[in-house]
Amino acid sequence: MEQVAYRTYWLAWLTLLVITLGMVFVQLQAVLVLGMIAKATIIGAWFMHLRYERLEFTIIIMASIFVTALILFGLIVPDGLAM
Amino acid sequence: MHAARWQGGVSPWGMSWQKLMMWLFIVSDALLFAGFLAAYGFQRLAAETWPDRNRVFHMEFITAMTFILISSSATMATAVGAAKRGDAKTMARFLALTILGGLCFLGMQAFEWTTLIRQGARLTTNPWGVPAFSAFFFMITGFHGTHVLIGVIILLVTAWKRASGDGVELAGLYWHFVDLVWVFIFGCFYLI
Repeated sequence: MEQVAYRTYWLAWLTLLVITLGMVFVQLQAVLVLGMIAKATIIGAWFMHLRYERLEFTIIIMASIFVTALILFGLIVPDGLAM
Repeated sequence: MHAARWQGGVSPWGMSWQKLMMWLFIVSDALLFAGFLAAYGFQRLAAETWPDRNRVFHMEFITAMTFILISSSATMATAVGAAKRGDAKTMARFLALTILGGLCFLGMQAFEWTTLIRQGARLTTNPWGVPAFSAFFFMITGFHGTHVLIGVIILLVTAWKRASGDGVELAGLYWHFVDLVWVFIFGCFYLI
């Protein structure tokens, strides 16, 4: 695995903090959803090193979680409105 | 990267089997929390009313918990980086900071739970009107808190065994995953 500069992690940390504060203060649904996705991406890509793994592996991990999220939150959760 | 490769001279995606198994575990654990949050979202959309979160939660306190968990993830990433460089001193220092962050988070969650339980919140009932609210709250934050507790134990064992780069990396993957789950719990439960 290639070495990542310490500074990269702390830049990621700073970005996560800014997004979190933005989410707490703005509190618009669209901002919250985009903020959660942005934070998850930063944690996955830099902290969990997905950015530095082989592309096929990253795609398999991302795709499996994306498909599940799509089925659960795109197809099943909205049905709650019809109850 | 790791001496033990799968037989045949090829290791899938050029990673150790330990790391591959950790990722498989993380994906399956992500499905668990995705299921919880989806059930919560469904129930909340189906319910006629939902308790006003500003009356139940103290957002400054929850934001501080989030800050601590994010910071502990950054110190963990630094510890993994130090382990990869063979810098045992920096690794031990940042591993200790990460454990401290995890313990702070657990303490604050225990305080939050105690506050809510003293106000009468239980798994099946609560003073804010919708019984499902506290059921989902205790179940989801309880499962997450248990993951943090297990993470602290893993980190303590990792530090105790003076693990090498790969061991610390595995513990780090798990710790970042716990932080990742909190991103969605924080967003879905405390902010929306």
